[in-house]
Amino acid sequence: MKSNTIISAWNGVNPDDAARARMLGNIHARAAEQPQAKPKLFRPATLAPVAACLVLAVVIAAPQLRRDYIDLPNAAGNVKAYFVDDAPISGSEGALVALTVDEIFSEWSTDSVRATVLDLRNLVVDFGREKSYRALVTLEVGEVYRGGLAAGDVIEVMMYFPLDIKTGCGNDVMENLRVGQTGIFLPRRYSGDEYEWVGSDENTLRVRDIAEFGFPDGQRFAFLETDDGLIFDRETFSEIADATTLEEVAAYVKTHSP
Amino acid sequence: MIYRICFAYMKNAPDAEDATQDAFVKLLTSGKAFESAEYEKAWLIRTAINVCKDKLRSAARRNESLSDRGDLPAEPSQIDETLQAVLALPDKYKTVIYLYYYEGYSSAEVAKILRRPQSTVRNYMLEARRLLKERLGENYEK
Repeated sequence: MKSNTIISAWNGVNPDDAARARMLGNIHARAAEQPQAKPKLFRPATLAPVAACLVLAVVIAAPQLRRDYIDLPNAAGNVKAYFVDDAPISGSEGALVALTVDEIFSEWSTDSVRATVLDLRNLVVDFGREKSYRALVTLEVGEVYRGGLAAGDVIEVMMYFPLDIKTGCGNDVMENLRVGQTGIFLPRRYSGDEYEWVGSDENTLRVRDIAEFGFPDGQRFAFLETDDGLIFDRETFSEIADATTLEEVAAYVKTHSP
Repeated sequence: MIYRICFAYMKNAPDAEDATQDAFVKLLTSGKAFESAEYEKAWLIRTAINVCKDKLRSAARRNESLSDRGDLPAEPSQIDETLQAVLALPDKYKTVIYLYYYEGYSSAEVAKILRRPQSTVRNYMLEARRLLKERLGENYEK
């Protein structure tokens, strides 16, 4: 995410030639006076690169070089992941895995929390032969109904499809996520030995390198308070199909949160 | 880069110059061998930050203003509203904002330089952007 405003502001913080010369001279003099473990001679020829360090040149790079990469310390091969501002939006894909309501809560021992959406970002996981567009949802936990989180915790939850962050609308529940929104969420916690790969396993991603939590699908793991009212999968959660408030959802979720 | 990082902490040119010089003198007299230029740069950034924090703590203990000196070089010519807002951020956010937006480091690289978890760096950026938006409005990220 660029900010020309911030770049322009910092451009104003630039020592003039006199200041640069003063600093270089003082550095040279002080370094020469002090005992050194390994002498580093500060010859005039080295003034140029040191001056270059002191001259705060504007970093102008091609957009592809300014990618915001996500560190993947446990990846194998040539897997890369990075945030993107634009992603092909097509909604969550594929049929939902058939799960009963009990299984939704128990299959992955999901945490249950009331939380506020702090941030939404799309990302790409590049497996080499295939790119997978996803989203990262940052939540601040307000209330905990199940699991080991605490109020005030900030967690990142990955989704397996990108979001239309600009409009925040779509057919699936999660496509209506917006920053600042409150909801009840059922994130699943990834274990440390969950991996993904495409084709053969030469390029392998350890899922927890992206996020500690994930939403298994875009439909059944969130109950969102929106300007158009409460949004959730009323067909799946038929017991509370008429619910209009998060308080009703919370009471229901607590019954599935021993 | 080092001068700007120091300016972010010290908020005035003379003290930023002092801190910059201290950081480079430490580098030149350290005798450290770095495995790469990037490691050296990261070390210098962390050293500059620590130098600034030491100076600020020392001044606070002496209850004095660091800039109370006669022979002051000129201030940078432009400290606009945006920069004022950035300089008003908590220290831990300022450096992240500078390294990410101005120097173009990714959040992963910023995390490595500052030796913080990547999720912490992203949280710092999130909070910093929120504070900047409160102060500057929606358009500061254009």
